[in-house]
Amino acid sequence: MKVCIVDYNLGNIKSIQSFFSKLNIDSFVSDMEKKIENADIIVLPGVGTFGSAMKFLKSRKLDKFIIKQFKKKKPIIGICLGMQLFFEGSCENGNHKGLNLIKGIFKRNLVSHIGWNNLQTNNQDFYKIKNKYFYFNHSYSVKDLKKYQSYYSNYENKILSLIKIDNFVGMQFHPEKSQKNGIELMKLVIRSFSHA
Amino acid sequence: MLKKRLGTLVFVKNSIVVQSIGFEQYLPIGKPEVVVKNLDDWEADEIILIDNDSSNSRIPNLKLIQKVANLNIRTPLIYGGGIKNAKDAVECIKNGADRVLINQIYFDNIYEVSKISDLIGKESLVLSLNLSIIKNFLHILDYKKRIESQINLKDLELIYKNNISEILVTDYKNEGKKNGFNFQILKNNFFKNKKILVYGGINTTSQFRRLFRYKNVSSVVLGNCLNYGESYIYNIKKKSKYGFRK
Repeated sequence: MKVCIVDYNLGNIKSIQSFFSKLNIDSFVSDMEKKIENADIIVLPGVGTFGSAMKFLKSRKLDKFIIKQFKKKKPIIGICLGMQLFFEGSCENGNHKGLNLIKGIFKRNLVSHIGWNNLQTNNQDFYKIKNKYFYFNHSYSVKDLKKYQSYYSNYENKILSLIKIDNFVGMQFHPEKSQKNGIELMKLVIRSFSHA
Repeated sequence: MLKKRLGTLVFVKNSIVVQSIGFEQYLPIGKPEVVVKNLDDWEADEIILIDNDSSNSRIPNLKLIQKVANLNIRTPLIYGGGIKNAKDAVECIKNGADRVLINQIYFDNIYEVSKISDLIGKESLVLSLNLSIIKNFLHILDYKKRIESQINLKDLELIYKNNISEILVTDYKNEGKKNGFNFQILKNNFFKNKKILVYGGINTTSQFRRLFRYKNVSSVVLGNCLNYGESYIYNIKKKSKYGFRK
């Protein structure tokens, strides 16, 4: 199994690569459509601003490519900003359009959500992570989306923490920095892909 | 519910981790990669890695960040040292840091702070302030020039509001001292609505208890005391009634 970490010139590439190496999964970094297409799983990492990331994706025509992969139900993991990009848009430093695959616009938190918070769900606890702590680091959020398989965290509001649509899993938190909980979750996510 | 963090600070000077006392005396501890790996194994909530050599050379130590990242640590890493512009900050993140800590830019080129924030996001930017109380007034230390001056809170307010997610408040005069942290620093109104990490002379249970009454304190950062007991983090979290993640 090979994972491609999409390089949009901002993300915490090295942290994500180290994380997959810890899971004994081969990964490579690319910003080229042809190389990304060869991967079994596509990962969009976090860190950076929404506008800068979208601008970079568009400059490489990766926006259309990722939309196509999402619709084809290719396994995709979006981490933090990497998850946010799949939504309609964000108000971070202006109004920016996203990939528009999921309804919702990211709005600024009153105070940045940084640190260890636990997850809750109104749906089935499909990854068995209810009440477990994960590391968050973001300033923009959307409310929990009950119509999808999802988890939320209590911070100012019930904010979306994890969403699963077909073979797309988006995480607002950083599994790569969530110690043993992050590792256990990622193993489950990857296992769920291989069974899909 | 968001938990308070138990942070740790690793100070590197001449390529080795040192125990710092008031930013004036330094005692050798060991290799950065060994110290960081231990903190990761002990499940600290975050690791702040400051490279003093880079602060002097004004070039971030990307090799040190890579070395630490190659350890496959699973704990959030905040790197500080030598970051002078947005390009430096992005390189630190790309090489393995999760957030960056800036200090000298505040004195040298305050306008660059917003450029960094525009690229990496304010949540990834932490401002480090070395503070002390002199004659009842809050003073800041320009570490490079070794000059203490009264802090301009108006400028700082503006910078914080738009660009900074958290401030690392270091009581540098009491750093390395038992029960040393000067709570007078936190009483300044400026800090009331800011998220802060506190560091410097924090090592007793009564200090933890007191610090956790401050809603704005998001992280209590330990330094030197961690070098003298590997169960320190575990014990604090286990015994803690202070709201740490266990």
